[in-house]
Amino acid sequence: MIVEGRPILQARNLRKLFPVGRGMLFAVDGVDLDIMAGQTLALVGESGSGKSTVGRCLVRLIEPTSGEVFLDGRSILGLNSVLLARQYRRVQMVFQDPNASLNPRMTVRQTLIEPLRLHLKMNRRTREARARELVEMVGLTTAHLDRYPNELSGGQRQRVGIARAVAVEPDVVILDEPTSSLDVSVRGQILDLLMDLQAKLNLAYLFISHDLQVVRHVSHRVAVMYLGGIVEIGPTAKVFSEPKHPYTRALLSAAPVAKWGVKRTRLRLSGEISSPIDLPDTCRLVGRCPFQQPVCSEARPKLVDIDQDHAVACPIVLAKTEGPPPFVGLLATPSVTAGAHPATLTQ
Amino acid sequence: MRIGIGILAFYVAVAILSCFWTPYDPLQPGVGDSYSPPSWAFPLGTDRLGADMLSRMMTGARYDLGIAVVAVFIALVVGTTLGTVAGYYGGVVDTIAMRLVEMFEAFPGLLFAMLVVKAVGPGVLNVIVVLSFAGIPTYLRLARGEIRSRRSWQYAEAARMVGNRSWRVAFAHLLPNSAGPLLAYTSINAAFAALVTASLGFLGLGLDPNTPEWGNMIARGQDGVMTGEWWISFFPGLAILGMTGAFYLLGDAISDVTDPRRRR
Repeated sequence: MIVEGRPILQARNLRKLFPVGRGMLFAVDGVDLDIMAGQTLALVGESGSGKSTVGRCLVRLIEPTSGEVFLDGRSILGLNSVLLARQYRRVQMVFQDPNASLNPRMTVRQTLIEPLRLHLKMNRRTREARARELVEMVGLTTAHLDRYPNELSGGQRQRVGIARAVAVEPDVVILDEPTSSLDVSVRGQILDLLMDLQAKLNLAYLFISHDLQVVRHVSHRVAVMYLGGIVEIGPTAKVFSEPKHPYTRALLSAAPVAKWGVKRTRLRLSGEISSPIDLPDTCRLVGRCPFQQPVCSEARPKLVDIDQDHAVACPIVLAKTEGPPPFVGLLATPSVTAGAHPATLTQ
Repeated sequence: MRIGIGILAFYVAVAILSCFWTPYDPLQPGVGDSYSPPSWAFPLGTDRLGADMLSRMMTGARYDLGIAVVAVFIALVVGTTLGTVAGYYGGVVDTIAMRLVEMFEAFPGLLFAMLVVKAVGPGVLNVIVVLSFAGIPTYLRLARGEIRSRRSWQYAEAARMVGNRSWRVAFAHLLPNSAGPLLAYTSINAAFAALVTASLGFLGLGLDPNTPEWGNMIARGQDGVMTGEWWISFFPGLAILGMTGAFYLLGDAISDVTDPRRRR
């Protein structure tokens, strides 16, 4: 897959398995992704799809079971704790719940100064000046510096969380559902702030979300996750206008349309998301997918390019793109037909 | 909460005062008649040997308060440190620590204290060491539980991301947020320590039987309770009750003050 730009944070065959009572929980199972400098990659999926675990594995808040993570081309999985902590100058994270991610005993000033002291080794006066600059950058005032988190509103807390993340001027920020715990009324403001900061500081974002409207609004590219794996990845406009994978199509067609009289054609998957414990080596959608064929149960489909920057993990879609069956041969030797216009799936 | 601080301040003042001045020599028998009831000369009466009860009570504050405070402090520091390490790092360290704690907790605190003091002999230092040891398991367990439940909180992850080493995440970020239950327990622990000190004294195991310690004094006065000389046991008992209660009130006050969410 050819994507424009310089990859800043990359994952290769990332896996995270949690041992549970009866077997293994496949939280993340073979994820490849590239976050490009200055761009936003959105990671969408329903709860339990493993999207947050991917975010945490990328910065080793959770140790991946296997795979590789490269920051600016260098692997970070082998680093010891001291060297890893140093890498956090370049990768930062904004957490989902600003109530839980701010230390309730630290004032805004203390929260913002900590990364400056530990990462940048700034002296006292520079730190104070920088803290003032940061609060203003995220739309708060210097009066907020002496407040405790419990004296701030949800939106203000998240602004502090964002200020803390950008304090060290990182290259990449992982945004783990940064707006989902906020009131709808402040979501927009926080998203505007994030986009503003991206432009100003040339940040790359991994935007983890289940909110398709938000994703469409903020991201350059989208990766759709289902049960620990990416099923489709491509430019936002393309994925939204021409979704290929049955799961992506079902997900998009489930989103309500805010226009009176518009009838949605819905693609419905049967049943619920299956248990992520001891998954078989088949397509994760087997049993739910209306287009299911025997080939789907033969092996787990890999992401294959259908266009130069758009990849899908579905043998049926690929078959339609490439021409008539057999499917098996296509799976074995995936190739790209440049400029081929994929046929639309029929329901 | 102010009452607790007030009562304890009074105890501390009395303990300090007793170092410089008491109405009579607390160890001197025969300053008055045996079993004098409370009077202007002897406000709290005298004991069987005719020693002044007020002087003995004042000196007793030094022992009972001092032993409780020092023992609790040692138990708090050691127990919390070990508990934080066990809770944050988990694994083998945690398993070993918890099995040791369970071994300790199988013995009732007073029984443990009695056994050890009986074995190593009486003395202030021995009583302090025994009482701190008896307190450690609870602090360890409390701190471990608090840290474990907060280890995966987002602010622990956030603290790592801003460049903290793991020990700083545990001790500078998680521990202060776990301080409430630990500090609240110090009051219960101090009350317990005071009671055990007194009980050891009462049983004749803790300090030298002649030491003017409240438990010793209650033990000495117990015969008098039946025959009408109530003041010998009553006032030390009241002193212990007051101190225990004051520690409890103080513990509550501490957890209020240390938590910014409860402050405003």
